[in-house]
Amino acid sequence: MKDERHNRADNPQAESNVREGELKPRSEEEKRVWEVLEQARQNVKSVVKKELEAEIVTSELFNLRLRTPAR
Amino acid sequence: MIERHAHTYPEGKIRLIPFQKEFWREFPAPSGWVEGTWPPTQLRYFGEYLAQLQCKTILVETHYIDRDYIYDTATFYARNLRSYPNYCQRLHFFFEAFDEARWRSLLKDANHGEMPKSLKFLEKGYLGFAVVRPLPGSPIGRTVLPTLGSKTDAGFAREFHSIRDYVVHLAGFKLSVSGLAFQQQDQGVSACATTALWSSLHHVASKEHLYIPTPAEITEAAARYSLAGGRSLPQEGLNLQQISEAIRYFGLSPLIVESQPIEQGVEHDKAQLLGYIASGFAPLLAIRPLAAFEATRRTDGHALCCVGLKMSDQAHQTNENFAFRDTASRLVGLYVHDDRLGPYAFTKLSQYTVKRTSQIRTVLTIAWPDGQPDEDAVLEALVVPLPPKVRLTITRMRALGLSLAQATGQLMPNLGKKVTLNYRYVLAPDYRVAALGFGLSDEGAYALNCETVLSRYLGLLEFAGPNGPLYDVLMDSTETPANPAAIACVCRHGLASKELEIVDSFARKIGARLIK
Repeated sequence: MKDERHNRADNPQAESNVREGELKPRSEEEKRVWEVLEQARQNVKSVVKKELEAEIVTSELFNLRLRTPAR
Repeated sequence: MIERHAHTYPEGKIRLIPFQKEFWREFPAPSGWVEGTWPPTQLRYFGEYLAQLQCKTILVETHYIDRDYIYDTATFYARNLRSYPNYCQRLHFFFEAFDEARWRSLLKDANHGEMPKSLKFLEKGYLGFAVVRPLPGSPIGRTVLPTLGSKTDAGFAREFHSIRDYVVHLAGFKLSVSGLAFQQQDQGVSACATTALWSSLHHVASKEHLYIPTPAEITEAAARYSLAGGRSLPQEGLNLQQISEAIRYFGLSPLIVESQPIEQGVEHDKAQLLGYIASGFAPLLAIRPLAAFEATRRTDGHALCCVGLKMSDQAHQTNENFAFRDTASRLVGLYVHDDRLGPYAFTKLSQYTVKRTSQIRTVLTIAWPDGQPDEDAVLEALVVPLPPKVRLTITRMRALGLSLAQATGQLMPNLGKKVTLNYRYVLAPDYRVAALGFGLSDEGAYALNCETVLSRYLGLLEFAGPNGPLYDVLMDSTETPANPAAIACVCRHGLASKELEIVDSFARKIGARLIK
Protein backbone atom coordinates (compact mmCIF):
# COMPACT_ATOMS: atom_id res chain seq x y z
CA MET A 1 0.00 0.00 0.00
CA LYS A 2 2.75 2.42 1.00
CA ASP A 3 4.77 1.81 -2.17
CA GLU A 4 1.79 2.46 -4.38
CA ARG A 5 1.03 5.80 -2.76
CA HIS A 6 4.38 7.55 -2.90
CA ASN A 7 3.66 9.55 -6.08
CA ARG A 8 0.34 10.95 -5.01
CA ALA A 9 -0.18 14.59 -4.06
CA ASP A 10 0.93 15.44 -0.56
CA ASN A 11 -2.58 16.32 0.41
CA PRO A 12 -4.08 14.79 3.54
CA GLN A 13 -7.60 15.62 2.39
CA ALA A 14 -7.12 13.93 -0.95
CA GLU A 15 -5.35 10.99 0.68
CA SER A 16 -8.18 10.34 3.08
CA ASN A 17 -10.59 10.38 0.15
CA VAL A 18 -8.42 7.92 -1.74
CA ARG A 19 -8.34 5.64 1.28
CA GLU A 20 -12.11 5.59 1.25
CA GLY A 21 -12.10 4.67 -2.39
CA GLU A 22 -14.42 6.80 -4.47
CA LEU A 23 -14.64 10.45 -3.44
CA LYS A 24 -17.91 11.05 -1.62
CA PRO A 25 -19.56 14.35 -0.73
CA ARG A 26 -19.58 15.21 2.95
CA SER A 27 -23.03 16.78 2.83
CA GLU A 28 -26.02 17.40 0.61
CA GLU A 29 -24.73 20.92 0.01
CA GLU A 30 -21.39 19.60 -1.14
CA LYS A 31 -23.15 17.13 -3.40
CA ARG A 32 -25.01 20.02 -5.01
CA VAL A 33 -21.79 22.01 -5.45
CA TRP A 34 -20.17 19.06 -7.21
CA GLU A 35 -23.18 18.60 -9.45
CA VAL A 36 -23.04 22.25 -10.45
CA LEU A 37 -19.30 21.92 -11.09
CA GLU A 38 -19.87 18.87 -13.28
CA GLN A 39 -22.59 20.71 -15.18
CA ALA A 40 -20.22 23.68 -15.59
CA ARG A 41 -17.62 21.34 -17.05
CA GLN A 42 -20.18 20.23 -19.64
CA ASN A 43 -21.12 23.88 -20.36
CA VAL A 44 -17.55 24.85 -21.27
CA LYS A 45 -16.58 21.56 -22.91
CA SER A 46 -16.86 22.86 -26.47
CA VAL A 47 -14.60 25.84 -25.66
CA VAL A 48 -11.97 23.59 -24.12
CA LYS A 49 -12.15 21.16 -27.04
CA LYS A 50 -11.56 23.99 -29.51
CA GLU A 51 -8.57 25.25 -27.57
CA LEU A 52 -7.04 21.80 -27.21
CA GLU A 53 -7.29 21.40 -30.97
CA ALA A 54 -5.24 24.59 -31.36
CA GLU A 55 -2.27 22.86 -29.73
CA ILE A 56 -2.19 20.14 -32.39
CA VAL A 57 0.06 21.61 -35.04
CA THR A 58 -0.69 20.82 -38.66
CA SER A 59 2.15 20.25 -41.10
CA GLU A 60 0.90 23.18 -43.17
CA LEU A 61 1.31 25.52 -40.20
CA PHE A 62 4.65 23.95 -39.28
CA ASN A 63 5.92 24.80 -42.76
CA LEU A 64 4.63 28.37 -42.83
CA ARG A 65 7.62 30.53 -43.68
CA LEU A 66 7.96 33.92 -42.02
CA ARG A 67 10.02 36.24 -44.14
CA THR A 68 8.44 39.63 -44.75
CA PRO A 69 11.25 41.97 -45.77
CA ALA A 70 11.71 45.37 -44.20
CA ARG A 71 9.71 48.21 -45.75
CA MET B 1 56.06 51.60 -48.93
CA ILE B 2 53.14 49.27 -48.26
CA GLU B 3 50.18 51.05 -46.66
CA ARG B 4 49.75 50.56 -42.93
CA HIS B 5 46.55 48.72 -42.16
CA ALA B 6 45.46 48.04 -38.57
CA HIS B 7 48.79 48.94 -37.05
CA THR B 8 47.22 51.20 -34.42
CA TYR B 9 44.27 50.92 -32.08
CA PRO B 10 41.24 52.98 -33.03
CA GLU B 11 40.31 56.08 -31.10
CA GLY B 12 36.84 56.71 -29.75
CA LYS B 13 35.03 59.99 -29.45
CA ILE B 14 31.92 61.16 -27.70
CA ARG B 15 29.70 63.68 -29.45
CA LEU B 16 26.51 65.33 -28.32
CA ILE B 17 23.77 66.34 -30.68
CA PRO B 18 20.37 67.84 -29.95
CA PHE B 19 17.51 65.47 -30.75
CA GLN B 20 15.24 66.35 -33.64
CA LYS B 21 12.06 64.56 -34.57
CA GLU B 22 13.48 64.02 -38.06
CA PHE B 23 15.87 61.57 -36.43
CA TRP B 24 16.64 59.97 -39.78
CA ARG B 25 18.49 63.12 -40.87
CA GLU B 26 21.35 62.07 -38.56
CA PHE B 27 21.94 59.04 -40.78
CA PRO B 28 23.78 59.32 -44.09
CA ALA B 29 21.78 57.94 -47.00
CA PRO B 30 23.50 54.97 -48.65
CA SER B 31 25.39 55.97 -51.74
CA GLY B 32 24.45 53.97 -54.77
CA TRP B 33 21.34 51.98 -55.64
CA VAL B 34 19.55 50.20 -52.79
CA GLU B 35 16.43 48.07 -52.98
CA GLY B 36 14.71 49.65 -50.00
CA THR B 37 13.46 53.21 -49.64
CA TRP B 38 15.33 55.90 -47.75
CA PRO B 39 14.90 56.78 -44.97
CA PRO B 40 13.87 53.37 -43.67
CA THR B 41 10.58 53.31 -41.79
CA GLN B 42 12.42 52.29 -38.63
CA LEU B 43 14.29 55.61 -38.51
CA ARG B 44 11.07 57.58 -38.96
CA TYR B 45 9.42 55.48 -36.25
CA PHE B 46 12.35 56.04 -33.87
CA GLY B 47 12.01 59.81 -34.36
CA GLU B 48 8.32 59.64 -33.48
CA TYR B 49 8.84 57.32 -30.51
CA LEU B 50 11.76 59.28 -29.03
CA ALA B 51 9.75 62.48 -29.41
CA GLN B 52 6.98 60.86 -27.36
CA LEU B 53 9.57 60.03 -24.70
CA GLN B 54 10.52 63.73 -24.82
CA CYS B 55 14.10 63.03 -25.82
CA LYS B 56 16.24 66.19 -25.94
CA THR B 57 19.82 65.01 -26.37
CA ILE B 58 21.67 62.22 -28.16
CA LEU B 59 25.11 61.24 -26.94
CA VAL B 60 27.10 59.36 -29.58
CA GLU B 61 29.88 56.88 -28.78
CA THR B 62 31.72 56.60 -32.06
CA HIS B 63 33.41 53.27 -31.35
CA TYR B 64 31.39 50.56 -29.70
CA ILE B 65 31.88 46.80 -29.93
CA ASP B 66 28.47 45.18 -29.98
CA ARG B 67 28.31 41.47 -29.14
CA ASP B 68 25.49 40.76 -31.59
CA TYR B 69 26.97 42.67 -34.49
CA ILE B 70 30.52 41.35 -34.10
CA TYR B 71 29.16 37.81 -34.25
CA ASP B 72 27.16 38.77 -37.37
CA THR B 73 30.40 40.09 -38.84
CA ALA B 74 32.30 36.91 -38.02
CA THR B 75 29.55 34.76 -39.47
CA PHE B 76 28.72 36.74 -42.56
CA TYR B 77 30.05 40.24 -43.22
CA ALA B 78 33.75 39.40 -42.87
CA ARG B 79 33.51 37.63 -46.24
CA ASN B 80 31.97 40.56 -48.08
CA LEU B 81 34.00 42.39 -50.69
CA ARG B 82 33.30 45.67 -48.94
CA SER B 83 35.31 45.88 -45.73
CA TYR B 84 32.73 46.33 -43.02
CA PRO B 85 34.19 47.46 -39.70
CA ASN B 86 33.67 45.11 -36.78
CA TYR B 87 32.59 47.97 -34.54
CA CYS B 88 29.47 50.09 -34.31
CA GLN B 89 28.42 53.42 -32.91
CA ARG B 90 26.11 53.65 -29.92
CA LEU B 91 23.57 56.38 -29.36
CA HIS B 92 22.35 57.22 -25.86
CA PHE B 93 19.14 59.17 -25.48
CA PHE B 94 18.49 61.67 -22.70
CA PHE B 95 15.45 63.53 -21.48
CA GLU B 96 17.62 66.50 -20.37
CA ALA B 97 19.09 69.00 -22.82
CA PHE B 98 22.86 69.30 -22.39
CA ASP B 99 25.88 70.01 -24.53
CA GLU B 100 29.48 68.85 -24.70
CA ALA B 101 30.63 71.39 -22.12
CA ARG B 102 28.08 70.04 -19.64
CA TRP B 103 29.13 66.47 -20.44
CA ARG B 104 32.76 67.33 -19.78
CA SER B 105 31.82 68.97 -16.49
CA LEU B 106 29.88 65.84 -15.45
CA LEU B 107 32.96 63.72 -16.02
CA LYS B 108 35.15 66.31 -14.29
CA ASP B 109 32.86 66.35 -11.25
CA ALA B 110 32.96 62.55 -11.10
CA ASN B 111 36.74 62.69 -11.31
CA HIS B 112 36.78 65.01 -8.29
CA GLY B 113 34.74 62.83 -5.95
CA GLU B 114 31.29 63.91 -7.05
CA MET B 115 30.25 60.79 -8.92
CA PRO B 116 26.80 60.59 -7.20
CA LYS B 117 25.94 64.11 -8.38
CA SER B 118 26.91 63.42 -12.00
CA LEU B 119 25.29 60.00 -11.94
CA LYS B 120 22.06 61.44 -10.56
CA PHE B 121 21.85 63.87 -13.47
CA LEU B 122 22.49 61.18 -16.09
CA GLU B 123 20.29 58.52 -14.48
CA LYS B 124 17.37 60.89 -14.13
CA GLY B 125 17.10 61.58 -17.79
CA TYR B 126 18.37 58.35 -19.36
CA LEU B 127 16.10 57.02 -22.10
CA GLY B 128 18.09 54.04 -23.33
CA PHE B 129 20.38 53.34 -26.26
CA ALA B 130 20.54 52.23 -29.87
CA VAL B 131 23.51 50.55 -31.53
CA VAL B 132 24.14 51.86 -35.04
CA ARG B 133 25.66 49.20 -37.25
CA PRO B 134 27.94 50.15 -40.15
CA LEU B 135 25.41 48.62 -42.54
CA PRO B 136 24.19 51.42 -44.80
CA GLY B 137 20.73 50.02 -45.50
CA SER B 138 19.89 48.55 -42.08
CA PRO B 139 21.69 50.58 -39.44
CA ILE B 140 19.55 49.90 -36.36
CA GLY B 141 21.20 47.26 -34.20
CA ARG B 142 20.49 46.27 -30.60
CA THR B 143 18.25 48.93 -29.13
CA VAL B 144 16.66 49.18 -25.72
CA LEU B 145 14.18 51.95 -25.08
CA PRO B 146 11.72 52.33 -22.23
CA THR B 147 8.04 51.67 -22.72
CA LEU B 148 5.45 54.43 -22.71
CA GLY B 149 3.54 55.11 -19.46
CA SER B 150 1.11 52.71 -17.81
CA LYS B 151 -1.99 54.58 -19.05
CA THR B 152 -2.90 55.78 -22.51
CA ASP B 153 -4.52 59.21 -23.00
CA ALA B 154 -7.87 57.46 -23.40
CA GLY B 155 -7.46 55.65 -20.07
CA PHE B 156 -6.49 52.18 -21.30
CA ALA B 157 -3.86 50.30 -19.30
CA ARG B 158 -0.51 49.44 -20.87
CA GLU B 159 1.01 46.30 -19.37
CA PHE B 160 4.52 45.13 -20.15
CA HIS B 161 5.44 41.84 -18.51
CA SER B 162 8.35 40.88 -20.78
CA ILE B 163 10.70 43.75 -20.09
CA ARG B 164 13.84 43.61 -17.98
CA ASP B 165 16.62 45.87 -16.80
CA TYR B 166 19.66 46.38 -19.04
CA VAL B 167 22.81 47.78 -17.45
CA VAL B 168 24.70 50.29 -19.59
CA HIS B 169 28.30 51.35 -19.02
CA LEU B 170 29.04 54.78 -20.43
CA ALA B 171 32.41 56.42 -19.81
CA GLY B 172 32.57 55.08 -16.26
CA PHE B 173 28.94 55.79 -15.45
CA LYS B 174 26.68 52.84 -14.78
CA LEU B 175 23.19 53.51 -16.08
CA SER B 176 20.19 51.27 -16.63
CA VAL B 177 17.13 51.10 -18.80
CA SER B 178 14.11 48.86 -18.52
CA GLY B 179 12.76 47.49 -21.80
CA LEU B 180 13.13 44.64 -24.27
CA ALA B 181 15.84 44.62 -26.91
CA PHE B 182 14.87 45.35 -30.50
CA GLN B 183 16.79 45.37 -33.76
CA GLN B 184 16.14 45.82 -37.45
CA GLN B 185 16.46 42.77 -39.70
CA ASP B 186 19.55 43.07 -41.89
CA GLN B 187 18.57 40.37 -44.41
CA GLY B 188 22.13 39.09 -44.14
CA VAL B 189 22.05 36.97 -41.00
CA SER B 190 18.52 37.80 -39.88
CA ALA B 191 15.02 38.11 -41.22
CA CYS B 192 11.86 39.03 -39.31
CA ALA B 193 11.55 35.65 -37.59
CA THR B 194 15.16 35.75 -36.39
CA THR B 195 14.90 39.19 -34.82
CA ALA B 196 11.48 38.42 -33.30
CA LEU B 197 12.87 35.26 -31.70
CA TRP B 198 16.01 37.11 -30.60
CA SER B 199 13.85 39.69 -28.79
CA SER B 200 11.71 37.01 -27.20
CA LEU B 201 14.75 35.08 -25.94
CA HIS B 202 16.21 38.26 -24.47
CA HIS B 203 13.58 38.04 -21.76
CA VAL B 204 12.94 34.37 -21.12
CA ALA B 205 16.57 33.22 -21.47
CA SER B 206 17.66 35.93 -19.09
CA LYS B 207 14.94 34.95 -16.60
CA GLU B 208 15.97 31.29 -16.83
CA HIS B 209 19.70 32.14 -16.60
CA LEU B 210 20.30 30.70 -20.07
CA TYR B 211 22.63 31.95 -22.77
CA ILE B 212 21.15 34.70 -24.93
CA PRO B 213 22.03 33.92 -28.55
CA THR B 214 22.93 36.45 -31.22
CA PRO B 215 20.86 36.66 -34.44
CA ALA B 216 23.57 34.79 -36.33
CA GLU B 217 23.55 31.99 -33.76
CA ILE B 218 19.75 31.76 -34.00
CA THR B 219 19.99 31.44 -37.77
CA GLU B 220 22.67 28.74 -37.49
CA ALA B 221 20.64 26.79 -34.91
CA ALA B 222 17.45 27.09 -36.96
CA ALA B 223 19.10 25.82 -40.13
CA ARG B 224 20.93 22.85 -38.61
CA TYR B 225 18.46 20.23 -39.80
CA SER B 226 16.11 22.01 -42.15
CA LEU B 227 16.65 24.51 -44.94
CA ALA B 228 13.26 25.92 -45.86
CA GLY B 229 14.55 28.51 -48.31
CA GLY B 230 17.40 26.45 -49.77
CA ARG B 231 20.19 28.33 -47.98
CA SER B 232 20.57 29.76 -44.53
CA LEU B 233 22.64 32.82 -45.43
CA PRO B 234 21.70 35.36 -46.62
CA GLN B 235 18.75 34.82 -44.37
CA GLU B 236 15.47 34.47 -46.27
CA GLY B 237 13.09 33.65 -43.48
CA LEU B 238 12.39 30.77 -41.13
CA ASN B 239 9.44 28.42 -40.94
CA LEU B 240 7.83 27.37 -37.68
CA GLN B 241 9.75 24.11 -37.68
CA GLN B 242 13.06 25.97 -37.85
CA ILE B 243 11.96 28.43 -35.19
CA SER B 244 11.05 25.50 -32.95
CA GLU B 245 14.43 23.89 -33.59
CA ALA B 246 16.26 27.10 -32.63
CA ILE B 247 14.20 27.45 -29.44
CA ARG B 248 15.03 23.86 -28.48
CA TYR B 249 18.71 24.38 -29.27
CA PHE B 250 18.92 27.21 -26.75
CA GLY B 251 17.44 25.15 -23.91
CA LEU B 252 13.79 26.11 -24.10
CA SER B 253 10.70 24.30 -25.22
CA PRO B 254 8.68 25.61 -28.19
CA LEU B 255 4.91 25.63 -27.80
CA ILE B 256 2.91 26.36 -30.94
CA VAL B 257 -0.72 27.40 -30.59
CA GLU B 258 -2.68 27.74 -33.79
CA SER B 259 -5.13 30.63 -34.03
CA GLN B 260 -8.75 29.51 -33.65
CA PRO B 261 -11.85 31.08 -35.21
CA ILE B 262 -14.08 33.06 -32.85
CA GLU B 263 -17.24 31.10 -32.12
CA GLN B 264 -20.16 31.98 -29.84
CA GLY B 265 -18.31 35.10 -28.76
CA VAL B 266 -15.39 33.14 -27.28
CA GLU B 267 -12.13 34.73 -28.35
CA HIS B 268 -9.70 31.86 -27.94
CA ASP B 269 -6.77 33.80 -29.40
CA LYS B 270 -7.15 36.63 -26.92
CA ALA B 271 -7.14 34.13 -24.07
CA GLN B 272 -3.90 32.57 -25.30
CA LEU B 273 -2.28 35.95 -25.90
CA LEU B 274 -3.30 37.19 -22.47
CA GLY B 275 -2.13 34.06 -20.67
CA TYR B 276 1.34 33.92 -22.17
CA ILE B 277 2.08 37.63 -22.41
CA ALA B 278 0.88 38.37 -18.86
CA SER B 279 3.20 35.57 -17.69
CA GLY B 280 6.24 37.29 -19.21
CA PHE B 281 6.74 34.82 -22.07
CA ALA B 282 6.98 37.15 -25.05
CA PRO B 283 5.45 34.98 -27.81
CA LEU B 284 6.26 35.21 -31.49
CA LEU B 285 3.18 35.94 -33.53
CA ALA B 286 2.96 34.45 -37.00
CA ILE B 287 0.70 36.66 -39.13
CA ARG B 288 -0.33 36.80 -42.79
CA PRO B 289 -1.74 39.75 -44.72
CA LEU B 290 -5.51 39.62 -44.90
CA ALA B 291 -5.50 39.89 -48.68
CA ALA B 292 -3.29 36.82 -48.91
CA PHE B 293 -5.48 35.01 -46.41
CA GLU B 294 -8.55 35.59 -48.56
CA ALA B 295 -6.78 34.13 -51.57
CA THR B 296 -6.30 30.40 -51.81
CA ARG B 297 -2.66 30.55 -52.81
CA ARG B 298 -0.05 29.84 -50.19
CA THR B 299 1.91 32.88 -49.11
CA ASP B 300 4.65 33.61 -46.65
CA GLY B 301 3.93 35.31 -43.36
CA HIS B 302 5.54 37.79 -41.04
CA ALA B 303 6.81 37.44 -37.46
CA LEU B 304 6.36 39.82 -34.55
CA CYS B 305 7.54 39.63 -30.97
CA CYS B 306 4.72 40.46 -28.59
CA VAL B 307 5.84 42.51 -25.59
CA GLY B 308 2.80 44.16 -24.04
CA LEU B 309 -0.95 44.36 -23.63
CA LYS B 310 -3.41 47.20 -23.98
CA MET B 311 -6.31 46.53 -21.62
CA SER B 312 -9.66 48.16 -20.99
CA ASP B 313 -10.94 48.60 -17.42
CA GLN B 314 -13.77 46.10 -17.29
CA ALA B 315 -14.10 42.54 -18.44
CA HIS B 316 -17.43 41.82 -20.12
CA GLN B 317 -19.53 38.78 -20.71
CA THR B 318 -18.83 37.35 -24.16
CA ASN B 319 -21.33 34.48 -24.11
CA GLU B 320 -24.79 34.72 -22.57
CA ASN B 321 -24.63 31.12 -21.41
CA PHE B 322 -21.63 31.82 -19.23
CA ALA B 323 -22.03 32.99 -15.65
CA PHE B 324 -18.58 34.59 -15.58
CA ARG B 325 -16.34 37.02 -17.43
CA ASP B 326 -13.03 36.24 -19.02
CA THR B 327 -10.20 38.72 -18.37
CA ALA B 328 -9.25 38.23 -22.03
CA SER B 329 -12.31 40.33 -22.94
CA ARG B 330 -10.39 43.34 -21.57
CA LEU B 331 -7.68 42.90 -24.21
CA VAL B 332 -8.02 45.52 -26.96
CA GLY B 333 -4.53 45.58 -28.46
CA LEU B 334 -0.92 44.52 -28.27
CA TYR B 335 2.47 46.21 -28.18
CA VAL B 336 4.83 44.41 -30.52
CA HIS B 337 8.39 44.61 -31.72
CA ASP B 338 7.91 44.74 -35.49
CA ASP B 339 11.27 44.88 -37.20
CA ARG B 340 9.65 46.63 -40.18
CA LEU B 341 8.80 49.45 -37.82
CA GLY B 342 10.22 49.60 -34.32
CA PRO B 343 9.82 48.62 -30.68
CA TYR B 344 6.50 48.65 -28.81
CA ALA B 345 4.43 49.35 -31.94
CA PHE B 346 0.74 49.35 -31.15
CA THR B 347 -1.45 46.87 -32.95
CA LYS B 348 -5.21 46.86 -32.61
CA LEU B 349 -7.00 43.53 -32.25
CA SER B 350 -10.28 43.12 -34.07
CA GLN B 351 -12.47 40.49 -35.68
CA TYR B 352 -12.90 39.81 -39.37
CA THR B 353 -15.18 37.41 -41.21
CA VAL B 354 -13.14 35.70 -43.89
CA LYS B 355 -15.22 35.69 -47.07
CA ARG B 356 -13.74 32.46 -48.32
CA THR B 357 -14.56 30.42 -45.21
CA SER B 358 -17.07 32.58 -43.25
CA GLN B 359 -14.90 32.08 -40.20
CA ILE B 360 -14.40 34.97 -37.79
CA ARG B 361 -10.69 35.42 -37.30
CA THR B 362 -8.47 37.60 -35.11
CA VAL B 363 -7.02 40.46 -37.11
CA LEU B 364 -4.12 42.73 -36.18
CA THR B 365 -3.82 46.28 -37.48
CA ILE B 366 -0.45 47.87 -36.84
CA ALA B 367 -0.32 51.65 -36.65
CA TRP B 368 2.50 53.33 -38.56
CA PRO B 369 4.29 56.49 -37.40
CA ASP B 370 2.24 58.79 -39.60
CA GLY B 371 -0.93 57.42 -38.03
CA GLN B 372 -1.88 55.45 -41.13
CA PRO B 373 -2.87 51.87 -40.39
CA ASP B 374 -0.88 49.19 -42.15
CA GLU B 375 -2.67 46.47 -44.05
CA ASP B 376 -4.64 44.14 -41.79
CA ALA B 377 -3.05 40.82 -40.97
CA VAL B 378 -4.64 37.61 -39.74
CA LEU B 379 -3.14 35.89 -36.73
CA GLU B 380 -1.95 32.41 -37.72
CA ALA B 381 -0.21 31.16 -34.60
CA LEU B 382 1.67 31.91 -31.43
CA VAL B 383 5.08 30.37 -30.83
CA VAL B 384 6.00 30.52 -27.16
CA PRO B 385 9.51 29.67 -25.94
CA LEU B 386 8.76 28.06 -22.57
CA PRO B 387 11.05 26.71 -19.87
CA PRO B 388 11.13 22.93 -20.49
CA LYS B 389 9.53 22.03 -17.17
CA VAL B 390 6.43 24.10 -17.95
CA ARG B 391 4.26 21.34 -19.40
CA LEU B 392 0.88 22.64 -18.31
CA THR B 393 -0.38 24.94 -21.03
CA ILE B 394 -2.70 27.93 -20.72
CA THR B 395 -5.35 25.83 -22.47
CA ARG B 396 -5.21 23.15 -19.80
CA MET B 397 -5.26 25.75 -17.06
CA ARG B 398 -8.32 27.23 -18.68
CA ALA B 399 -10.00 23.83 -18.88
CA LEU B 400 -10.18 23.78 -15.08
CA GLY B 401 -10.54 27.55 -14.75
CA LEU B 402 -13.53 27.84 -17.08
CA SER B 403 -15.40 25.05 -15.22
CA LEU B 404 -14.70 26.58 -11.83
CA ALA B 405 -15.59 30.09 -13.01
CA GLN B 406 -18.88 28.87 -14.46
CA ALA B 407 -19.72 26.98 -11.27
CA THR B 408 -18.66 29.93 -9.09
CA GLY B 409 -20.91 32.28 -11.05
CA GLN B 410 -23.84 29.89 -10.65
CA LEU B 411 -23.28 29.10 -6.98
CA MET B 412 -22.62 32.71 -5.95
CA PRO B 413 -25.55 34.51 -7.64
CA ASN B 414 -25.06 37.57 -5.42
CA LEU B 415 -22.00 38.39 -7.55
CA GLY B 416 -24.35 39.05 -10.48
CA LYS B 417 -22.36 37.13 -13.09
CA LYS B 418 -19.42 39.39 -12.36
CA VAL B 419 -17.04 36.58 -11.48
CA THR B 420 -13.90 37.20 -13.51
CA LEU B 421 -11.43 34.51 -14.48
CA ASN B 422 -7.76 35.26 -15.01
CA TYR B 423 -4.93 32.79 -15.74
CA ARG B 424 -1.19 33.05 -15.99
CA TYR B 425 2.06 31.56 -14.75
CA VAL B 426 3.85 32.96 -11.73
CA LEU B 427 7.07 31.98 -10.03
CA ALA B 428 6.28 30.17 -6.78
CA PRO B 429 8.62 32.35 -4.67
CA ASP B 430 6.85 35.46 -5.99
CA TYR B 431 3.46 34.00 -5.14
CA ARG B 432 4.57 33.10 -1.62
CA VAL B 433 5.75 36.69 -1.06
CA ALA B 434 2.48 38.09 -2.40
CA ALA B 435 0.42 35.64 -0.33
CA LEU B 436 1.77 37.13 2.88
CA GLY B 437 -0.26 40.20 1.95
CA PHE B 438 -3.51 38.31 1.28
CA GLY B 439 -4.76 38.51 4.86
CA LEU B 440 -4.65 34.72 5.33
CA SER B 441 -4.95 33.30 8.84
CA ASP B 442 -1.62 32.52 10.52
CA GLU B 443 -2.33 28.83 10.03
CA GLY B 444 -3.15 29.42 6.37
CA ALA B 445 0.00 31.46 5.72
CA TYR B 446 2.08 28.78 7.46
CA ALA B 447 0.40 25.97 5.53
CA LEU B 448 1.01 27.71 2.19
CA ASN B 449 4.53 28.95 2.74
CA CYS B 450 5.99 26.15 4.88
CA GLU B 451 3.99 23.00 4.24
CA THR B 452 2.84 23.19 0.61
CA VAL B 453 5.32 22.05 -2.02
CA LEU B 454 5.01 24.12 -5.19
CA SER B 455 6.47 23.80 -8.69
CA ARG B 456 8.89 26.60 -9.70
CA TYR B 457 6.36 27.99 -12.14
CA LEU B 458 2.79 27.83 -10.89
CA GLY B 459 -0.24 27.79 -13.12
CA LEU B 460 -2.34 30.43 -11.39
CA LEU B 461 -6.10 30.67 -11.80
CA GLU B 462 -7.53 33.82 -10.23
CA PHE B 463 -11.23 34.24 -9.54
CA ALA B 464 -12.41 37.72 -8.64
CA GLY B 465 -15.75 39.32 -7.87
CA PRO B 466 -16.92 42.94 -7.82
CA ASN B 467 -15.35 43.40 -4.37
CA GLY B 468 -11.97 41.94 -5.17
CA PRO B 469 -10.27 38.55 -5.41
CA LEU B 470 -12.34 35.54 -4.29
CA TYR B 471 -9.88 32.66 -4.48
CA ASP B 472 -6.88 31.38 -6.39
CA VAL B 473 -6.17 27.89 -7.63
CA LEU B 474 -2.50 26.92 -7.79
CA MET B 475 -1.60 24.33 -10.40
CA ASP B 476 1.53 22.26 -10.85
CA SER B 477 2.99 23.43 -14.16
CA THR B 478 5.18 20.34 -14.51
CA GLU B 479 2.24 17.96 -14.72
CA THR B 480 0.97 16.10 -17.79
CA PRO B 481 -2.65 15.98 -18.99
CA ALA B 482 -3.12 12.46 -17.62
CA ASN B 483 -2.73 13.49 -13.99
CA PRO B 484 -4.51 15.97 -11.74
CA ALA B 485 -2.50 19.17 -11.31
CA ALA B 486 -4.37 21.31 -8.77
CA ILE B 487 -2.25 21.84 -5.66
CA ALA B 488 -4.14 24.35 -3.55
CA CYS B 489 -7.14 26.66 -3.36
CA VAL B 490 -6.14 29.88 -1.62
CA CYS B 491 -8.98 32.01 -0.23
CA ARG B 492 -8.81 35.76 -0.80
CA HIS B 493 -10.35 38.71 0.98
CA GLY B 494 -13.31 39.13 -1.40
CA LEU B 495 -14.74 35.75 -0.37
CA ALA B 496 -17.67 35.91 2.09
CA SER B 497 -17.68 33.35 4.90
CA LYS B 498 -20.75 31.56 3.52
CA GLU B 499 -18.96 31.21 0.16
CA LEU B 500 -15.96 29.61 1.82
CA GLU B 501 -17.81 26.29 2.03
CA ILE B 502 -18.32 26.32 -1.72
CA VAL B 503 -14.60 26.82 -2.35
CA ASP B 504 -13.88 24.12 0.23
CA SER B 505 -16.07 21.73 -1.77
CA PHE B 506 -14.33 22.74 -5.01
CA ALA B 507 -10.98 22.04 -3.36
CA ARG B 508 -12.07 18.55 -2.29
CA LYS B 509 -13.40 17.76 -5.74
CA ILE B 510 -10.27 18.83 -7.61
CA GLY B 511 -7.91 17.26 -5.05
CA ALA B 512 -6.44 20.54 -3.84
CA ARG B 513 -5.55 21.71 -0.36
CA LEU B 514 -7.75 24.49 1.04
CA ILE B 515 -5.79 27.39 2.42
CA LYS B 516 -7.73 30.13 4.21
